[in-house]
Amino acid sequence: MELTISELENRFLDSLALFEETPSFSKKDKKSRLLSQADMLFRTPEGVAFLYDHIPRITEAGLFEDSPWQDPNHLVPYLVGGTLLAGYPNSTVEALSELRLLAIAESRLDYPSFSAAQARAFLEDMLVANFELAYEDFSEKAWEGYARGELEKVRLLFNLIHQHIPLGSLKGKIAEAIEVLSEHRPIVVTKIKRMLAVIHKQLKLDATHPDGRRLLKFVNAVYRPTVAAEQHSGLESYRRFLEQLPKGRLQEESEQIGEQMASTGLVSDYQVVLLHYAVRQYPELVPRILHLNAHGVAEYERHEAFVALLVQEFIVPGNKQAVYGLARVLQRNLLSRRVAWHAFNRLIRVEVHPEVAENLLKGNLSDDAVTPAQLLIGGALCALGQPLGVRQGNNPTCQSARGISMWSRHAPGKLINLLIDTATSNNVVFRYEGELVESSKTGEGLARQFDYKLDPVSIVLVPHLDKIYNEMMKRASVKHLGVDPHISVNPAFYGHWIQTGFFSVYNPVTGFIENYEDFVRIFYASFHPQYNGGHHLIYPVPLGIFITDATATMLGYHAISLLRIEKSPAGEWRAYFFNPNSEGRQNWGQGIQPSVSGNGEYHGESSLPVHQFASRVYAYHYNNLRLDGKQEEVPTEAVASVERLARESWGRKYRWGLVG
Amino acid sequence: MANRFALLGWSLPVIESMQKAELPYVVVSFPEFESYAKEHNIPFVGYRLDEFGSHSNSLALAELLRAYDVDVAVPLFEETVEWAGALNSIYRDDPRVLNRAFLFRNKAMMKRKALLGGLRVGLFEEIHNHEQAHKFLDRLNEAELQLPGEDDAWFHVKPFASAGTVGHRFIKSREDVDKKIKPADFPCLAESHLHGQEFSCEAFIHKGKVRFLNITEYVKLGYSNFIPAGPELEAKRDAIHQEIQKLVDVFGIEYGMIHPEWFVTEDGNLNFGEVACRIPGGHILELASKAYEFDALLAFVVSHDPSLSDAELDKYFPPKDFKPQKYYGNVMVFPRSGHISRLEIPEELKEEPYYLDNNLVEPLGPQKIGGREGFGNHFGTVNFAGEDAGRMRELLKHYEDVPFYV
Repeated sequence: MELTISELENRFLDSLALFEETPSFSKKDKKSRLLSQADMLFRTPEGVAFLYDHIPRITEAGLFEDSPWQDPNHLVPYLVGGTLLAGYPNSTVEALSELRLLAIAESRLDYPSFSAAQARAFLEDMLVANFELAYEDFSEKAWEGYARGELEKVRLLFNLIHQHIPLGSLKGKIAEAIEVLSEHRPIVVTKIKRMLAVIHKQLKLDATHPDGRRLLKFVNAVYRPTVAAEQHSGLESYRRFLEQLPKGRLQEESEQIGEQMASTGLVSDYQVVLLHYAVRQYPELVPRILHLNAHGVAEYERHEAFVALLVQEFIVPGNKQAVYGLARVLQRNLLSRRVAWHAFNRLIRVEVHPEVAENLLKGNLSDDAVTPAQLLIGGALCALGQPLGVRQGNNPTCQSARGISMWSRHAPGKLINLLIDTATSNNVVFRYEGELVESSKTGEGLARQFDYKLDPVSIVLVPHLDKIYNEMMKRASVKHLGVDPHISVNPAFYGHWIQTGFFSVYNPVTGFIENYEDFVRIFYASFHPQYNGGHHLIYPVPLGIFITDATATMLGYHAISLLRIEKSPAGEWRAYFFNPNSEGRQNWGQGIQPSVSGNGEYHGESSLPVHQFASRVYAYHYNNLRLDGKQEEVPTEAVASVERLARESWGRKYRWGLVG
Repeated sequence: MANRFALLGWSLPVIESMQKAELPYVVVSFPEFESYAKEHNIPFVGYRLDEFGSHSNSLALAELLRAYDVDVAVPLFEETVEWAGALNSIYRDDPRVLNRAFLFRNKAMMKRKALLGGLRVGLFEEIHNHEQAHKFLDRLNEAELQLPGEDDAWFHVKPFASAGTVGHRFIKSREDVDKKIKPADFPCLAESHLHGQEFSCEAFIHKGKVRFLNITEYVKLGYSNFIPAGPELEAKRDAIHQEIQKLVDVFGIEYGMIHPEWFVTEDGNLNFGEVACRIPGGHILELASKAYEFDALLAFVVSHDPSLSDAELDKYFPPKDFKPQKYYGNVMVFPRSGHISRLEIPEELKEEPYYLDNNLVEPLGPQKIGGREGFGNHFGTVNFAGEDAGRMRELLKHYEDVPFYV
């Protein structure tokens, strides 16, 4: 009974003709109807091919005019995926826009301001940046929340693009993306693993080719970390193989597998098998499997029995990244801290609240079975082992992510304690200026639809922390009228690590940017070793920054932590910071592009030259007892260069006071 | 042919039709639209077409329009009906044209005129406060020979001059009088409930005669309708035509289009609901255009032109014996109360062969939807076409309840 494709095509063409003819003022209505017809064609491969055939005419008819898609120069490859999932009609316009770019890339459509090479590069970047979506078959449960037709549209669109831009042609860009992601060492590595799964399945990699070699490093780490694993593929067969291996060979195997993990941050199923085997038969090999250095080995030897317990009870293929977390925890000597030791011993015995358990399982994106308790403990090992690997996902919860990261570094006992409370009671209580703030009794936080693509600790804590933070901000804005609420909320939320001084350039009463010069001077005098008497930071400094896009236009506010200001290996003073919303490189405009490796960053850090970093900051806490007038010695040129960057970027959106 | 039509009110579809047909026109609307009009080369006179009253100076407006050589005024919206009446009184040198316009704008006057002319109407009164509403109900119950303990008779109250169903309250009991009627609703017309199936017509009148009659079948008032009406209603076309001609005669209507609403009873009697003389809501003229293969908006405009001969007029209408091939229907989509965040076109709709297209808009971010007043603020329309009236009715009914916004 459904209409045939040719009927749909005719209707579309009629609609397109009407759209072409209609006077400028009626375009909008005709455009809606045309889009609804295009949407019908996006349901079959023939329909998509038809749209691709006609995309030059559609473009020339003005479909993209007066819309955010008008100028391809303003489009951002990274944002395509989100828009494709944002529902009709935007998803349809976005899909048509990709067809347009493909037509430009294939020289079927001439676009004066956008060349075929630019279009090709855009599509390649788009495929890599949205890799999970571009190569997804939508069979998993996680997609059930989306309309079937919308997903089918996305799938058919990418199928067509893949025909023109095969996966093999993207090797270099994919390798680069994986390297950046891996260098940044996020706790959640689903994205890397999805990319590797697709490459492993669809591409034959050539070790003699440089890009092939770069990719093989990662594919091997996950799918064949050792020669033996390749020869005995399948976990059962590998296990049997290990059992008949002499100790000497086992040691080699352990070293190889440990090195793979250390160089990529990725854990393979084979490593889990090997670790379980070693814990039972050859505990002395465990440090090699975990690639521990002398500090780590000493820690392991002290807590050998506990580590064995953790491995046997809580680490399975379903949460295998916990192996890396465990290695990092041992490396940090965390178990030898009395508070952390007791807290962790209690944590492994908690009974997980049913609702928390359900949320934990929602975050398990792997096919392997894993219990909520295993997720919780494995997640705790990761959060404690990789404080800078915490991310906020698609949630507006940068404050919470920043808190978890800071506690993991400086107050692991507090973090574990919080985790115990929340996991057992599905509730958490904080103090704010003498009053109690309880998450179960407060309303909504900032996150509406919670994204569960997070590490387990974040899954447990963030929904509560988000509410607490939001409630504190509400109370602060009533209690301290006209005063920046962060002054009182940050110390209450994060703890006593927050310095007592506070400086914001924004005056909430007048709406002006004020005292900017002093702001920059005190920033340098407090945090920059060149001006603060040669000192390093003791605790991370929570900062508010303006996020700007590639054209340096302000997008919004964001919470990050400044970790250190140091000279890079190249001798440049750089600010190293933790950004919970970072997937790697970003472009903040004015040539400001935070890097995540190659400039002396530790895993998980981002960095920028100090003046570039300072130009995006609008608020920070500092120690007012240690200033001693040092701010007067900060050279005027340094301040001026920061101010120029600020005024010409986010500063365009604000009025500047006379004492700017 | 008129020298130039003055279109009173801002309607892009009408402007588009005029441009396509290359008929001379000028738009009269609020000065706020001026820059937009200029940008798109739309001839425009900015004027504050506020509610028409004794303070309104139609002579001043006529003076402004003289520069454009206007000789026919066309009301596009309820609020511009008297303005058009006043201008056309001047152009036709007939003061009664304005009086007739008042008929359309004052529901009590409209009912009295209909009653005088012998149309079937309900028991009605003008009421000014809750007490009078209770008294009206007393008299209505009495006339219905109500016994103690029996349900109250049903009646409706409507503000005198509102379009569509704005301020319309359906009173089904004595409690409703105080609960549903708001102080701001007074003064208003109270009328006993008319029985029968409600439907509307669009009758294009020229020289006092019905030139073309469209019958629209409502599936649910304010949500969905289709054209032509199903076979049951179309079977009564002659009777309806006669009754409308009677209405035209009684009201003394010479030119333009009227949009009366009727209630047809089981035994074929027509009860007169009300009548308007502007473009009906629900995209009815668009549906009529498709079903009858003509430009109903253009026909609406030219029907106001006394200078057209019958032959000239015929060019704008479908042939007299035209039989539509398909039913064209639409559903207006209103998000349900509560939170919505995105638009989702249901799969079953895309698989439906009667489905034509839609112009639904995406919500601007997550938002909370409250109740609705009148028929304003829909998020767009879903259009259908097909050969079977029964199936059309079924579909329209079905899609009233399907959520498009989640």
